Amino acid sequence: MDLNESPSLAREPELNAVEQPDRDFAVLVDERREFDTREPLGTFVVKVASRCNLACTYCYMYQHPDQTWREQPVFISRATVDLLASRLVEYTRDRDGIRWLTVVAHGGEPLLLGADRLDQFFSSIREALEATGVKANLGLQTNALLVDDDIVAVLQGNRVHAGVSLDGPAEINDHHRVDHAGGGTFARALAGIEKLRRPSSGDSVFGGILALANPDIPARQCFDTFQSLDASYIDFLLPDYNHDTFPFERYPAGVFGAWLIEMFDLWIASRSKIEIRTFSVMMRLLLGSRYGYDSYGARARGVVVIETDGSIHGLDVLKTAYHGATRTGLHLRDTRFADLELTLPAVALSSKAVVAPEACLDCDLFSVCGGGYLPHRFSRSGGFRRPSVYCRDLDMLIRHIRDHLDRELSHLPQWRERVGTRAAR
Amino acid sequence: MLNANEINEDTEIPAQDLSPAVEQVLERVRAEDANEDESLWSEFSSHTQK
Repeated sequence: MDLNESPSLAREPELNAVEQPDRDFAVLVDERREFDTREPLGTFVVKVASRCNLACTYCYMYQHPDQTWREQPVFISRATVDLLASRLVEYTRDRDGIRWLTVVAHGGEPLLLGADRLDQFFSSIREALEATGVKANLGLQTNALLVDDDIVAVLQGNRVHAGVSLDGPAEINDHHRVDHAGGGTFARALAGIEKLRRPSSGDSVFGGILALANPDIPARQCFDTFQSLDASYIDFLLPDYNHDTFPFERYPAGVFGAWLIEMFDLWIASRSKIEIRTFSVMMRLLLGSRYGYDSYGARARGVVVIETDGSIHGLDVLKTAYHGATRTGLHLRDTRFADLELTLPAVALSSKAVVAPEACLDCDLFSVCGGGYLPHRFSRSGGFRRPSVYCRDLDMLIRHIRDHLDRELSHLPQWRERVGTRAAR
Repeated sequence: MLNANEINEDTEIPAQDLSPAVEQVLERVRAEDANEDESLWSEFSSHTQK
């Protein structure tokens, strides 16, 4: 495959890439700085490769309005990695109290970078941070097709566990997660997972699985598929629809909520030790935990995305909204991360009430849903001011989980009395 | 995991009656209460996973 060519050879985006070019994020939200709690940045998602060996039908990088990947170098350079490492070190000095920073190799498909350059990336970041006394929490999000012994050795050497994107079972996965020839990828992904789980030497470097919530398949079938893979962590992401793209006729409000509720009940009944992140974080937040992450919770550590050219972007999933949606105009060469904390794209993900829809601020579920995931709130007519397209689904799910906690903790009054929700104000 | 003895001080049910999922969550919340929850600092963003 020529990596300078479109990664989407199998199909071109249905939406016009220049319909809504370069709109400033600030004009698409109502900004309420009184809710800004100035949270530190926590996760740095680094596009080490801006192309992919797959052409998944729903990919937010390539199959949606934003096409800025075409402007990016195929791979991150050594100079950009060194600049990133120095900016991270600077950030640990600028910001008191940082104990960890999470840095994730992402793409495109990060394993296209190859074992040697991937090792350079991880070791540069890890060594730079560890010299400051801050722990480096390194991650990799991959489709697993390119895993081999050299890659496994790099992950082991840098104490990285790979998260794998997979939609089970096979017939569902292979409908959406296809290569450039349109072929299914489930069997090849499973072979990669097996190499991560059971390396020829050393410990497992298999982390968890990211899958899409999919009401088209029975929750039981999906749960059983993933349980058989022996994953420690699973998450079910809501598909990245917004008000302009959600197929309301196919999925009436509440369908995703009902599917996730069924999944939650299966999970609890199984007494499995697998952590399903969405459910775990909702339970934590219902018990009064202060922090979620970009999808859930009223507060979170900030997320920053670094493209292969060293430019600094907002949350990459916002590429589903419009062309140029993630651009900040900032670059590693002239921006301190501490200054980035003050920018609206960073604040929007860490102090959610600053940009939450007005209707959400008084909702009793705000502390858990955070006003809905930003990409799911977009419409061309309303910017990000409308509630999430999954508002009804999240309402059902959160209340179901709250009721479950109420029952399961009924004999633990010191915990049961904590179960609750709260509005933003 | 939660300290079963601590739970039993305040309750009449054994800790094993909790589902593993809830047990893990209680452990994290208690660690956060004690400002000892390292995982709060190492949370991945939604489209990445440890």
